[in-house]
Amino acid sequence: MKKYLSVFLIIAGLLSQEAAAQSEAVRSAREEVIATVDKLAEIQEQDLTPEAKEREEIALKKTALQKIINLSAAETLDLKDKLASLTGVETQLISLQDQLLTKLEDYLAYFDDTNRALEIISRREEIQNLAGDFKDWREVSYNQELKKAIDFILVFQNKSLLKTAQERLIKFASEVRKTKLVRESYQPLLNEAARNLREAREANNRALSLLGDYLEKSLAGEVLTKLNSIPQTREPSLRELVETSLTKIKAAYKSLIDLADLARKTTR
Amino acid sequence: MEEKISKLLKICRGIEPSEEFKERSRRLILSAIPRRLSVLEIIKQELRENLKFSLALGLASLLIFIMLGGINWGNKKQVSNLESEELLSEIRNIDFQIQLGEAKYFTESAEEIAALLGEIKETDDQINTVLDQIIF
Repeated sequence: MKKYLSVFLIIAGLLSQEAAAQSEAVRSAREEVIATVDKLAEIQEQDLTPEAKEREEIALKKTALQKIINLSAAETLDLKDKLASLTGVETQLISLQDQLLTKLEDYLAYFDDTNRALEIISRREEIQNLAGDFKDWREVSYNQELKKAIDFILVFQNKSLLKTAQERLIKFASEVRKTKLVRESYQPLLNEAARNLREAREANNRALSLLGDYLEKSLAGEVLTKLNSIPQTREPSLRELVETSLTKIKAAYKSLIDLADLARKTTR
Repeated sequence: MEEKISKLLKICRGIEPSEEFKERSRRLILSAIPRRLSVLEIIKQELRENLKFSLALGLASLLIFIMLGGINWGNKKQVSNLESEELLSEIRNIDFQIQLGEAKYFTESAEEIAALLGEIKETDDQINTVLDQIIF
């Protein structure tokens, strides 16, 4: 009972925070998993004969496994859509994008197969074995590829944010001259924003170069040679680099907001 | 022949305009007659016309004032209120907590699913527990 409850509580926590960024399909699939886990916990407290409890538990475990497979499928589909909708992907990384999309497609087919296999089994050992195989497969293959897909999405979403921020800076630099502000008052803020955006771009470029590691070996050599032309140090992880880049973008926006406030005060 | 004509005339004598036609004609005739207005009515009418003109003039002036003022405010607002709101909204959208939250979600979700699958699998975990107890 306690073990189910602990997992349930962690999942419920997850649902309230990070899951906010998820699609409706993922949220709904996750809620179904939680509901089944909840029922599994309730079974332990019910006053049933050992046989009836055993029967109920097997049935609920089968349902739980099915819900977990569905959740995995919903998450995969969500990522696949995000990955496919990315724009501005470098030519040399389009092959990686395609490679990841193909993997995600294969996984969706695998989930269907696993669900079909689950439908025709009913014995405890069979369900346990299938759960074990699915768990191993996720650890060995699925989770690794999913991480690559997420990293790819992070880098290119960030690249898109950078583009917007740069456009915003250019617009500001042009608009600020039309105000009564003297150059000495606004130029430092513009410089600060530009410096932060430059550093954000550098961090994202380094993250982008790390994506080359994800290419299958046949493609990796050629692409890495091209990407290595970007100056880089490989110590921070890809996600740390994306985080640094996002923080710099935020700092650049802060300078622009300060500039907007300054303009507002001067014209008041 | 004469008899026929006499019958026809008798029928025609009974023909009357419809009520609707009578009403419409009456209204048309009456409206055509210019009504003589009293002095009070004339004053009221004049006042109404003046008021209409003043209102129109006032509205036009206000419009011109707003237009001229608007252009002036617009220039000031280009990097002030409007942009600032947009910027704040953009900042909220790029908050790295949200951006990286998704990556975090998948990592944690994978861990939780693994834990749940472990619960369903159960037997192996029990064996592992027993093995752990034997080892230690």
